[in-house]
Amino acid sequence: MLVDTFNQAVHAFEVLSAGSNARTFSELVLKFFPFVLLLELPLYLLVVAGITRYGLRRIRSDKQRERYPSVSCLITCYSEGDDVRKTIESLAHQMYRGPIEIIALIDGAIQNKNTYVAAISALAEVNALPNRRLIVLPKWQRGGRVSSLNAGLSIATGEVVMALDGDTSFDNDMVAQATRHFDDPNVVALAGCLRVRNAADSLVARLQALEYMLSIGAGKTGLSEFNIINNISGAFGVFRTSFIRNMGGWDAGTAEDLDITMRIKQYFGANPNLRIAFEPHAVGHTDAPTSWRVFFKQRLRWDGDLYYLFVRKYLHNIRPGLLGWRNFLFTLINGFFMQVIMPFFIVFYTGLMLWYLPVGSVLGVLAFVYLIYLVSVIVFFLLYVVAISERPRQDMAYFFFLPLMPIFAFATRVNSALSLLQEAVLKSHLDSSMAPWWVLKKTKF
Amino acid sequence: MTRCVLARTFAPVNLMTTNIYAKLPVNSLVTFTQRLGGGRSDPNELKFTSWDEFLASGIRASGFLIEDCSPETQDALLWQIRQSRWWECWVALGVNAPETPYDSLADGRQTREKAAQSAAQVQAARAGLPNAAHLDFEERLLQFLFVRDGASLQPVCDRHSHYLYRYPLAEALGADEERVTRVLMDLQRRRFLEPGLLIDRVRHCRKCSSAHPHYHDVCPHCRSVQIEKSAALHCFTCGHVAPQADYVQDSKLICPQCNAHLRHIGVDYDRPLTQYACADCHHVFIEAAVQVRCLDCGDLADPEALDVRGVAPLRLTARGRAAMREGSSVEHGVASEFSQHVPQTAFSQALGWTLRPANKLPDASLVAMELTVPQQDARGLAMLDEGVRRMHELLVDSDLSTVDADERIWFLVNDGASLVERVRSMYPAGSDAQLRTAYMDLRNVGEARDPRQVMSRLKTELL
Repeated sequence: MLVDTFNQAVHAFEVLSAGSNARTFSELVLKFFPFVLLLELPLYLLVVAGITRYGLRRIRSDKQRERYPSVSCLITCYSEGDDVRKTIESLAHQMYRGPIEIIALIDGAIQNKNTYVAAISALAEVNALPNRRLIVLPKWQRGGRVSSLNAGLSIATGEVVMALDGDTSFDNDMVAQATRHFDDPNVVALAGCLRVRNAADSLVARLQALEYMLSIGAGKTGLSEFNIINNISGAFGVFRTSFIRNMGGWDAGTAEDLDITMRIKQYFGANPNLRIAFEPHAVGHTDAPTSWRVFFKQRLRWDGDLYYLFVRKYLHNIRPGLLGWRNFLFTLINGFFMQVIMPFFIVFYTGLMLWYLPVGSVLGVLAFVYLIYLVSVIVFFLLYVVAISERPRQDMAYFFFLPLMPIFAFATRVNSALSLLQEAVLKSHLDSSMAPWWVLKKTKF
Repeated sequence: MTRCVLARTFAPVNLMTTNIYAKLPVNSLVTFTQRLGGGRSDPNELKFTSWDEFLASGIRASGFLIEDCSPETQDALLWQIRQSRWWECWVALGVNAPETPYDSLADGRQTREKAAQSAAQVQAARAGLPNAAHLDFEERLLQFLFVRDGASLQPVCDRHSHYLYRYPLAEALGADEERVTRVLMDLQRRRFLEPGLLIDRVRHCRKCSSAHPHYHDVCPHCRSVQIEKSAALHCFTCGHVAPQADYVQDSKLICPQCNAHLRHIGVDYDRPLTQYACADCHHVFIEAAVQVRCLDCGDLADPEALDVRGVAPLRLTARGRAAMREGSSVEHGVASEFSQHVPQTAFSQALGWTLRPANKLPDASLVAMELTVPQQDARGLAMLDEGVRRMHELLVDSDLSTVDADERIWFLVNDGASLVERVRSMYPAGSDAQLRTAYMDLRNVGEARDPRQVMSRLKTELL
């Protein structure tokens, strides 16, 4: 029995690697299936090209800074408690010559008294520093993340405004690295690089740390070279204040980060010179879920939000006139097709394969896909460490976790299909922890 | 305004009131106070309540202390002292003296003992310097700073002033605001004065030097001021962009072009970046241009084209100090860099020597040049300096040059005609600086061989 299975696996593997013409249906399924999984490869190649370009460009010496714009940091706090101080202090002690205004927005300050008290306790210390100012703004009635950000935006005085999470702390050169890009008047927003702060806590945190490196550190570097950043993370986004004030700030509803990215991109059609930049060396350290259950729940929300935005809210806006051709194609293929449609294909084909093919063949196919995936992840990872990482030595330790990555990615894809389905049927975005129900209920989509 | 009143009331000071002061002690600190009667009364103290009372007494003061006076009296006294023959004396304010617009005319707030000490120091420092009564404004200014260790002229902001900042002390020493500005700039150019810590930066009109530019935003296309911020909307359905008002129908937003109902910002429509519109040329734009209109002469300019000047207290340089010691304050800054340059007295001596009646008339020319610029601002002065420098570069080692008090440049050269021609070619008609030249071949000098006569003849030719 075992030998049989093994032989089937070997056969399937051989069929896939031989590249002969498919004759039977089973061979056709065999041939077709991996390509469903490997459809991402062109995107990988695009990103790799971008990273290479970035790496070659970085060799040039840095220009002397001429401008140090004033910065307002909006920290959306909820139940972080004492951790908020870490965030505030890491911003107050930035190595930056310009003025930094830190606005801590405590959402639901009545329930979250601890967080409020922690932020207040940092007031005297921060305001004593030159060129730094801390404002603690309690919002007694809970209103959600978007309401906090818009409240902060209304009082922000900086030329550049940062939307930051209360559970994220920052390297001390973050502001300097991030604001550098705003010397270019066409840069209207910048995505910051996120790392996992608690990677050592568990295997799932470890794998997420690796995933963040590859998808944010490496992925966005590559995408930004072509001005097609997929998302400005909610935990760490940087914006030109005048631009988002004109836009009207953040929009209510969940996934405000992807929402504002999409809305900024809608200006690209009419103003093709505008840019969303990414700075891999502006680094924020955030907390990731440490248990599988919480992790899958978080992804369930994120992927559901994708469906909500791309299908419910912006389906009619995915067109070249608004987004420009480049971002239209990218949003259509990566955002809409890869992230909303593909997970269903993967689940569907895996089911189909299990139905039609013997177990051994299935294992063979999976082994084949696994190997290709592994090789590309290794290449990708090494490229990241060499060309991008600002902590190459520390990151290199993650090399030994790479063999787990393909499995991890497959599991998240399956989970993703589940969440998309849930969103499509149950409108689960109305049940988000990002804002209270009475706010979400008011949204139009 | 206050200053004008003060100046008119007190400016003509009678210098020679009386002669009886000769008998009184030399080191006498005169005190002005309005609080009489109370407190101790020291018979050695010379106390007065008003300037007239002091003048009538005929005391020979070596320094002044003003205490317990009302702000108006204090300012009036300060002006009177600085405009009198005692202008150079040390003037201290009492420790609790009020802050007034002209307290910078005093030398500081001090106790009586300190004030007496400082006054004596100033008296000692001015020993050997020329008689204070026979100096012109420029010399008074330099001497004032010279006898005080580390003193500087403090600028004071005055919104009624043409230049926005004034140097009240310099004005009190006997010049109007415009002359003060010109002289101070000139003394800096000649490196007798140098700016201390910068306290402000002022933008001046290029045409009239006024420091009252008025900034306003205009249409970048037609320069009209008829621009307004008009929120525009961009319909996603058809791409139409128009002012928000065009979309409003029955308190709904309806696209006037495609009739789409715009419900949600970011989804159905957004606000385009061009939020300004010009009512004159209908141009829409993201950011207005800024234009400057001079409030005094009405000249229009770009903000970058304004003349930016730093405002700082002015103090004597080492060079100025040395010039004061040697008594040669009218040395020209740039010309003195060249070996041909000699002081004016030496120049006329040399000229006199060549024209000695016993001498055969030499094969040489006397040349006079006058370079003027329309605007004596930093740029104009730099042009003058550059002109003087270029003229000197045309000389040979044996030539002589000097600059007189009116900034005329004199040369004693071999071939005057060619020098004049070459300098003229540097300033063709229509250039910013105006050049006037005159020269005289010394062989044709005729009977009048007095150098002063010869030079004044050439001067009239210049005009």
